[in-house]
Amino acid sequence: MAEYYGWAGKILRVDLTTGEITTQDDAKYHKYIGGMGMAYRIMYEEAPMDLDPYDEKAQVIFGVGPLTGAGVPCSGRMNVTFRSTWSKGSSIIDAHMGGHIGPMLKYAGWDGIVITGISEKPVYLRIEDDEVSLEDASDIWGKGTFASNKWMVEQNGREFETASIGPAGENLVDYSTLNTSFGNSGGAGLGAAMGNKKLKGLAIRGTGSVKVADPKKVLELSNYMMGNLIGGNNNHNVPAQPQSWAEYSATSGKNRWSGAPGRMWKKAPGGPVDTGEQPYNDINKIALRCFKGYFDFGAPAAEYTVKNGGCSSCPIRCYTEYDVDPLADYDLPTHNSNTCMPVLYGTRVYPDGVHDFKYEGDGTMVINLAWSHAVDDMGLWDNYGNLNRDLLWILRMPREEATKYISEEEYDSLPWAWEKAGDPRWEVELIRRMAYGEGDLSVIAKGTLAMMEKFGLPKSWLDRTDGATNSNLMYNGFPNHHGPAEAWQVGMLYNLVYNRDCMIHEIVCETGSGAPYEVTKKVMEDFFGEGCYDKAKAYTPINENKAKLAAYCVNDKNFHDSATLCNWMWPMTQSPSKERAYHGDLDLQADFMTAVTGETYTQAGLQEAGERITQMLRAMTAISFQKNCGSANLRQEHDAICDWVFDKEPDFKAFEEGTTKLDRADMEKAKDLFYDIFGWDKTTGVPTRETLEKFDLGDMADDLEARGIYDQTPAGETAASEAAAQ
Amino acid sequence: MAKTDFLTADMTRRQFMKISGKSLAGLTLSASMLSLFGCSQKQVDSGAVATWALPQGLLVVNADLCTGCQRCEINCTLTNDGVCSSYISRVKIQRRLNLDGAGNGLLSGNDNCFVYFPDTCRQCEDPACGNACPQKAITTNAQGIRVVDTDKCIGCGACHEACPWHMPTVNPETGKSSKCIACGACVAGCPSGALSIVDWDAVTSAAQAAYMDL
Amino acid sequence: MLFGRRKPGYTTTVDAASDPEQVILDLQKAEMAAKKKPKAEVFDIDAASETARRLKETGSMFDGSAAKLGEDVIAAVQKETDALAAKQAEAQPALEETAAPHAAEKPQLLDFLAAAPEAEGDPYADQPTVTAPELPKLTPAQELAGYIRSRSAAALVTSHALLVSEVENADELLAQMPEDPQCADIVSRAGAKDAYYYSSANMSDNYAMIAQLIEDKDLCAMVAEMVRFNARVYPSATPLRYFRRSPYDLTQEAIEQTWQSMQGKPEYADIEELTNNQNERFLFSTQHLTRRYAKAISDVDEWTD
Repeated sequence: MAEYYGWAGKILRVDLTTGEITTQDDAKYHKYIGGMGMAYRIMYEEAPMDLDPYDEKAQVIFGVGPLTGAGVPCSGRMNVTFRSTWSKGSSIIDAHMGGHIGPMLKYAGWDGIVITGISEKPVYLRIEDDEVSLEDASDIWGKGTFASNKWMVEQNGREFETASIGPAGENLVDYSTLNTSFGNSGGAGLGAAMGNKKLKGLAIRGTGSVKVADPKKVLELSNYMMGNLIGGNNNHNVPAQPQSWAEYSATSGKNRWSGAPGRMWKKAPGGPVDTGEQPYNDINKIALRCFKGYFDFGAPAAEYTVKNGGCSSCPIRCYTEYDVDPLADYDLPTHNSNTCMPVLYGTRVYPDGVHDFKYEGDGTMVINLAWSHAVDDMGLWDNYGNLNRDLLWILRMPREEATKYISEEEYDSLPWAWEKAGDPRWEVELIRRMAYGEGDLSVIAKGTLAMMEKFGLPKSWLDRTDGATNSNLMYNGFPNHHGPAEAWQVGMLYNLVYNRDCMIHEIVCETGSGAPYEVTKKVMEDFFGEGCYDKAKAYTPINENKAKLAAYCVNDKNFHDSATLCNWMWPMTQSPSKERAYHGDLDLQADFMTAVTGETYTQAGLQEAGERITQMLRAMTAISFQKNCGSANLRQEHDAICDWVFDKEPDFKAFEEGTTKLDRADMEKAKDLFYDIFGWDKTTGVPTRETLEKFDLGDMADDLEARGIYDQTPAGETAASEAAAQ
Repeated sequence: MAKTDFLTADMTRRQFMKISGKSLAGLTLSASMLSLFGCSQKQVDSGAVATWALPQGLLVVNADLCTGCQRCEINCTLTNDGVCSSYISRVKIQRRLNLDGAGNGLLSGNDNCFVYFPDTCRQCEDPACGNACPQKAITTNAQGIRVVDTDKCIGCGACHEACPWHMPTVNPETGKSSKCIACGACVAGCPSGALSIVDWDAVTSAAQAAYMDL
Repeated sequence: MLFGRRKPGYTTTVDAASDPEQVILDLQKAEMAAKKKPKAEVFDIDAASETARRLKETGSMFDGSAAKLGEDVIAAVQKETDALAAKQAEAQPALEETAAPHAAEKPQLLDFLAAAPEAEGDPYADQPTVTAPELPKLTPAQELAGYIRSRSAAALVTSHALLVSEVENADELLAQMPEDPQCADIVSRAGAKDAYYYSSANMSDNYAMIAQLIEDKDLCAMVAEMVRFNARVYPSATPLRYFRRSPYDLTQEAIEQTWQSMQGKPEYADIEELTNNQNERFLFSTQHLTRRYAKAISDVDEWTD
């Protein structure tokens, strides 16, 4: 096998039906970068969208890229591609996970793992460099992810990195995850995709290395990035409260550069550690910048914090590691850690509210951390809060109303006394029921669309203006996860592309930073052109630069999940440096690609590579929508926007100062511009033959044509849709 | 009290060599010394702080500050091997992250699950690695650091086995032992300050200040 | 045991009387003032700052460690360190009683080292120690600049009153600074009662403004000034709790009292209060924000991470 810089050069193929394990040279996939891009190409060629997601031939593809494990800051990610079982169209979908396992896969010498088939008995995949085997997992089948991961490390040795599904995945619960390390997980139903294959987990040890073409340059660029460009979590470029070296801070105090003088890790074994000031050019204090617990919960977080944690290679430690001792009173684990949704939404299932435990105002945090450990242990996903919002919707109903949807017997079997008391065991019991698929209520963990079908809710249920129980931007089963409330039409446009929440942070990293609007606007306009950057809640009508920015974000994110880089941190758009006038360096990711692989990359080249993935995604989405929804008109079937996005806040008109609501006609115009940039048919939103051929995807164009997707729009319908857009 | 033991940087370094690689637990530090090391007496008491006397300064490891990012391993191998790796790194954190064999680590499921920190080469006074080498390939260089002579090394792994902490590692790709040469790359790039090097002039000043306090 | 761990059932003891948070804060400030940060050897500082490059070329250090070079400055820094040590010594017994009952019996590190046997015949021990190169001799004005710089690195502005009390000919030296390119980073700022000095290489002008407002000790003026600044610059309304945080560190009562006494005064007529959708209270200035927009941007929307 040829030697490469950056890429390991080979992928692993595992057929769980036959137990056959083979190796494949992966040079032909390098133009798709790796991770997401490589997986999309493989799945298109080998496991067409016509397959049922649980078909024996369906694939689960673990993918890392040339930058994973190559020392690039914030590159400890792994992408997993499979088929959605819960969002509209059952199309192609990704889970994205951090931790340490992605780099370890590279050190073991692999760019990816393609899993097919279904095992007869529970197994886990053991990889020790070139030695790969399927091992019996019956001892841990049925166990939580913490116990399973520990067992696999004990069985194989302390240098192994492991990942495990929990009971949710084993029971084919659609909202399920694969969990590694402590709180790091990939969601989107990955647990069930693996559970269907009887694949409990992975255990990987790599004693090899990632070869880099210019190691000195990689170090140099890393130091340049860490001393000049990187900010806090989400690359926020000003601190949350005034620091002496900084010109600005977030007036609200709410941003993710949340370490500050007086904010302490009070439960550190050797006594309180003050996170102090972290001058932007002092690389030995970067890990103290993010104090995610403080960002999420304020002062009570400090009382329970032991230290920070996070992923391999990343100096921004966005996990807070807690010892929440009040949970011991309920026989629940006290050591918890997470950074994302699991620590934010637990209180949603307490319609009667929560109470303080040990310190003033600590109720939310204690409840959320109990939620976090329980969902991580069960391997349960929350679909970016839809699980919690849908539960809240029914739990806050009076009994007589709720029992229209679930049986009286089930309703009365819920331990309501715990809910009324704000007892953390209430949420743990709900989570257990979800993970084991018990009762009618557990349909909520099969997905919002499945729940609506079972409960007989109309499509207009998704049009309701109630953020607490509905944040679905579209009718496809997934919620807002960075959308128009932070990024005006740009945020709405990039949400249209995927078959799950968009996972795009390119704009929220800027709008959430707390830096002065004029400062950030200058940075954004210098990079992306005049008029691209609206002021908070003071939006302007769509323009071409905004549509271009939305397309840039999509392509950039696709590159990140292929390279792999963390999209919460990359690209380096802003900088905390006054000397740089707060301008980051958008070319840095291309410079890293060049230094690592030895091939010359430019940012324009990365956009092209990212767009190739965008086009594959769109073509494959069209195919699955034709098969599963009866129409491949993506503009109508996939990209339709819920009414509340336009109708909320009746006291305001769209574009008036003070609102984030959008305007229907303006948004249709935005779609026209967006489709035009991507070379998609304006009526159907499907990539044209010319577009696909431009990206060497002629075979996909042939496929779409053979399937009749290009014939689907009669001329009359085009005129009608244009009229509707007026 | 013997202030004269700490008059010059060289004298200070020789004093600190006596406890190189050992925890400071059981000792009391002056305010100036605590400030210099960036730690508290409580951290010292809890055993979180250890020091190593290197030619370029005093290496201070503070376990409470380590956040497990592996940048020490990355910087070590990019600097010394021209590749990126964890296994051959001369400073080792990955092997302590999940289960360290002593009841600590993220998966331990106990009170110590957030206890993890980098292992560093002790540059031992009486180096087990060098003594065990059948080729006498581990020698002392001009800076006083034990280094591997790669021409002599046959990659037998005797150094790895002999070291009580298994710090030298045979690189499976080159067949040569990788052993810490105290280059400081891990410290320079440590984003949390869990690893830091305090220069000898500063340690000497702080030592003198400590005597002035008394 | 190396890296011996805490006992089971451990919880941090927070002793309100000795205010451990303050002890830690002071420790950190002293650390910043006394310690040379190792960052200069790590990355190319030139790329970060022209000022830093110039300071470096002239033998000074970006982080204010040049303060170490002059005897007077060392003494000044030492005095602060000692004062802290004394404060810690007071605070320590309360902490130590529970954590380590035998603290008094533990030997001092330096005594322990001096008493331990020499490392004989160790080739490693016999090698030369790396020490910092000699830096050029500084003028008294440059030494004083270094002192101001080191305090700036520790987030402190330096009042004119403090300088004249510490250094006999401070005014003369301050007058020399504008002529000396090595002192070009030293900036003065007039407050209500005194002038304040800081290094623009280590402290931003906006932070110096905040530090000066704090030093002026006119809470109404400080609150009004910052509420206007935040409304004009970001633009943002200012949560009342903004003033509870570092570096203001006001109590809730002090904030309430201040806001009470501002109301009805013509010079603060532009400052108004609003409550957002999460029941959090904010101040804003009608000079720069309408109430409707200020309320809208203070409201917290449904969000996901």
